[in-house]
Amino acid sequence: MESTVRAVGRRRALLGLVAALAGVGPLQAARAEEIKVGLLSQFSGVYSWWGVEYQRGVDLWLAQNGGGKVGAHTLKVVNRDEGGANPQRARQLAQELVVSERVQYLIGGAFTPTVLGAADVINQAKVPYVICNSGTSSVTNKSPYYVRVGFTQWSVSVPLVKYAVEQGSKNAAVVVADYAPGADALEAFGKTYKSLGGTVVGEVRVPMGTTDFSTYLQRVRDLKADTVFMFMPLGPMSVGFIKAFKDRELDKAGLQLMATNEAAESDLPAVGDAALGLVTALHYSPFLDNPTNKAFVAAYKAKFGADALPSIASLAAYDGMRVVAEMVKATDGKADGDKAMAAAKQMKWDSPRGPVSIDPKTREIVQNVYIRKVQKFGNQLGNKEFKTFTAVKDPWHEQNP
Amino acid sequence: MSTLVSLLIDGVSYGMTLFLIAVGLTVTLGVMRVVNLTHSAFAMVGGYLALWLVRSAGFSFYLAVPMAALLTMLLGLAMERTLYRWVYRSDALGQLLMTIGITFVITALAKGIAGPSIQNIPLPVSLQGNWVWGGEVGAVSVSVYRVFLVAVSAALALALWLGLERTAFGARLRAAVDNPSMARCVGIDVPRVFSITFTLGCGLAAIGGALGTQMLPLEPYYGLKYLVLVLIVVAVGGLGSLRGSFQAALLLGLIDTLGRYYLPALGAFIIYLCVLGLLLVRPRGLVASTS
Amino acid sequence: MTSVVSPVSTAAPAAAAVPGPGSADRGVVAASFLLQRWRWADLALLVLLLCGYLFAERHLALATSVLVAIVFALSLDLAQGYGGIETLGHAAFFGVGAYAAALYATHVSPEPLSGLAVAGACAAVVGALTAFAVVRAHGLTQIMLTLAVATVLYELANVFKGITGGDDGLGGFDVAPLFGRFAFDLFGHTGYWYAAGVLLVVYALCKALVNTPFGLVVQGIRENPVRMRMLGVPVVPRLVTLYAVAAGVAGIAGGLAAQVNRVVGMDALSFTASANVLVMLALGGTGRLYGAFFGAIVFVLLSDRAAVINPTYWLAALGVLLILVVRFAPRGLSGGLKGLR
Repeated sequence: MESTVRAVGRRRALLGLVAALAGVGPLQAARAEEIKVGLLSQFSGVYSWWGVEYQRGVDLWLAQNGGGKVGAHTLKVVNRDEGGANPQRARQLAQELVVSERVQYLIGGAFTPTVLGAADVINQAKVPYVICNSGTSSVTNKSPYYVRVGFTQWSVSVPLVKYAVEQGSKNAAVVVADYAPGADALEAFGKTYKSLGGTVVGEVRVPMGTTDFSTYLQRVRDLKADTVFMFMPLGPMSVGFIKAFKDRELDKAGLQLMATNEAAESDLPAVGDAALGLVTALHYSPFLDNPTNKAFVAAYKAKFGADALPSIASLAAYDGMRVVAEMVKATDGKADGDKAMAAAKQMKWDSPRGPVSIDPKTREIVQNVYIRKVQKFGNQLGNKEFKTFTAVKDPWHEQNP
Repeated sequence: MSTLVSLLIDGVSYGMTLFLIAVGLTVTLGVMRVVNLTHSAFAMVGGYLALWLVRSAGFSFYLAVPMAALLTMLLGLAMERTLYRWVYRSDALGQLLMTIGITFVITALAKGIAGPSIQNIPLPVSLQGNWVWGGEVGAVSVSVYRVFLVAVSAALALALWLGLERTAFGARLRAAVDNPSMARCVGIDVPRVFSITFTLGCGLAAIGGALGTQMLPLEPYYGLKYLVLVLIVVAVGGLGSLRGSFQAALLLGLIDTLGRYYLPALGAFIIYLCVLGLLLVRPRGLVASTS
Repeated sequence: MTSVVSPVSTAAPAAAAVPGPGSADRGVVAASFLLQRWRWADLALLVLLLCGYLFAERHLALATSVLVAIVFALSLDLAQGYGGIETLGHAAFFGVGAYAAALYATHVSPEPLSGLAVAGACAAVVGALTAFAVVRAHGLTQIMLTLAVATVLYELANVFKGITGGDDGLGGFDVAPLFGRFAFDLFGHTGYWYAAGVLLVVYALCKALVNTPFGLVVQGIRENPVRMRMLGVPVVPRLVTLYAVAAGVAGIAGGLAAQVNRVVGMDALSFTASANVLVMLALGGTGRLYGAFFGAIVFVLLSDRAAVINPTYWLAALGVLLILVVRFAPRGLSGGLKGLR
């Protein structure tokens, strides 16, 4: 029985191979009307905030562009739920989107593992992937079809450290969550700080999922630094740490807490007034004072309600769609990954976050990084920028060409 | 020195919270041998109810926690009388799966009602801040909230112990744990004892959940996330043993806190390595039940 | 192989069946032993695989993941359904196999079949090592031990990020064409048939195993370990062997997943993965091998579609389904169907 199975299997595999070769053809055919874009995000589970935000960014862009009209073509967005930080699932989804749905572009990706999971697929199929999150710099090296419109940990950490040193910081402790982006942040903070003459008095790695920070704060207190750089993923860890920091009155003990993405407006209500005065460095805040952003926020509120505020996620998806549209224009709707990427590399535009461009060498976004403080806007907590580092290129790529 | 004191208080308060949540489960497992994996979800329900009472109904924290516990007890009783009749009928694996199923439903409901983001109950001013004593060098700073936790948990533990040792009901419960069939022969209404115990257990879990939100923040997946911790306390402590789960919870809290401080590289590992070790040496838990 | 071992207690209830002794159970237990033989129904599985290929033409990635899940569920069935070892940490072996295959492909050779063998072997070794502790424990302690082992392995994968890639996952390795001819392409044809082939071989081996005296002995141990000991059966060594075999099969499933997807993440070792396979088996029914097929297919397809339709309510629906299945079809969906006849 086994040999018959094998024979059948082999014949089927051969047929399959023929079908595959034939299938390559239709993949290249131009579709004049509808161009599908695959949106990969977290729609279920603990990270579903990302799904909601990406969807909003995409929807807003579509609404502002006649339902997705780009020249003679119409963009249609197809969602898939990554369902957690699961690279195998992300790969399967990418594969399904490319093979079954015939998407020409992929957009989204909430985390580094899920973005990396698709690397193989986009390399084989030559499908551009517009990364909206994932702070790890090395990701864009894994495929020439990645272009990032989010931010990298290095690009926001270096300006923060520079600011801290300017303010007279001499000894710093670095507290990060113990996972890959955390390790990136540790390196970014540490190396930069040392190169600017500071001393890193200690590094504290907090296991993922920690909710009780008492031990780690005790450690920090014992390290006797004047500045604490932190990196935690958005959500319970970030909120918990900042609150605990204030609860333990470490700020009163002379420690200045500095962070990057941890004061996102979406998390601030959970932290509450304990966040006031927190200094962070990031590329965007809905309270950013420039005309493009004001219009963007107004349109966002008009569409999603007066209480809604855009975030780095919805912004990234919004800008990401713009990049996709440019690529569609450049290829005139044909599935030509190389031509699309060539066009993307030339892009420059006015984003709500300020003037941005895509670095042709690294395919990373080049943008402003703002140093901000948390303050109250009316009765909402938000970030007010007071210093700008313009046109920041990703430092990791600069140091590792 | 001050660090050590701080760490000890942190570890003990963490352990005591776990004890409150786990004690109901250990008795449930000990008395009726029912694998009730929904138990940590009751702690979450208690937490959310307290949050709602404080935030929306404006009750003070000190009132909201007992009220939330009462409400959770009512819910627990209602479920025990109805849904759990099905659970009792299954074998161990079936109970495990069914109660996980119930946890899933409660999780989904929590997500729908309270939203996916994490929340914790705002502490009243009287519990905020730190007590500091000692001079400039070696000043000891402890969180008021944590001391409160330790005090309340200790009081509850004492009340439980007294209840178990000194009351008639306690005697019946101990009999039911040691030898259910014999207890029945002697005329003890074991199912009724169990219903009451189950309900009390839910109430205690609710208190633990409501009090502990600063350490175990509320979110829909609470019931699944902290289930493992609760199971560890029960398994290591020994099924059905109050004393065992108390010891196990304290041990867990201290090992976790001290471990994370002194051996940060091992961090989350420590607990599981210790659990492995403990269970290998004493498979029936620290205080093995006699039956 | 032909006669049922008579000392097996017929008073003890069969795994996951309604409790309580009685003549009805004697029939149930006897029937479950008879089911192990090769039947015409097994050919239906072949048909199933062919249908799967035809209907899932454009969703081969999903179909392949179903096949991988079936292999994984089979491994759990061996340990739990046949051996009565309750485990909440079976994903540990899946993960070990996955990482082993990925590391083998990266550092040694991208040849898939040898990679699969390595994956299975590594997982079996880990299984054998942990078995000594696990099989001697019972009830909650046993569950906690398996959970602790899985968690320790998970944390280890995080600690050794340099090797495993940590949260980023381990990717970027090549898998050579199968038999030197069939390349693993984007369309997934080779992947599907590779997985199907492995599944058939694994199933055949499992089936053969449960029909050997060894297989019957472990079922006896599941029913009544004390009795078996009295008969002079070395209970612990038998269970250790079973556990190691089950771990090896789980490792093969993991290796398969790694090779077909060309990426491995830490989620392969997670508690969720262990819980998922347990749910699959609950849905499908333990102790009959068919249950693995039912459960895995239903679970993977449902969770995939549910994620598209309405992810929030998927969890609630799953919970309700679990409650109903345990209450009304305690021997799983495949058992429930049998009951209808």
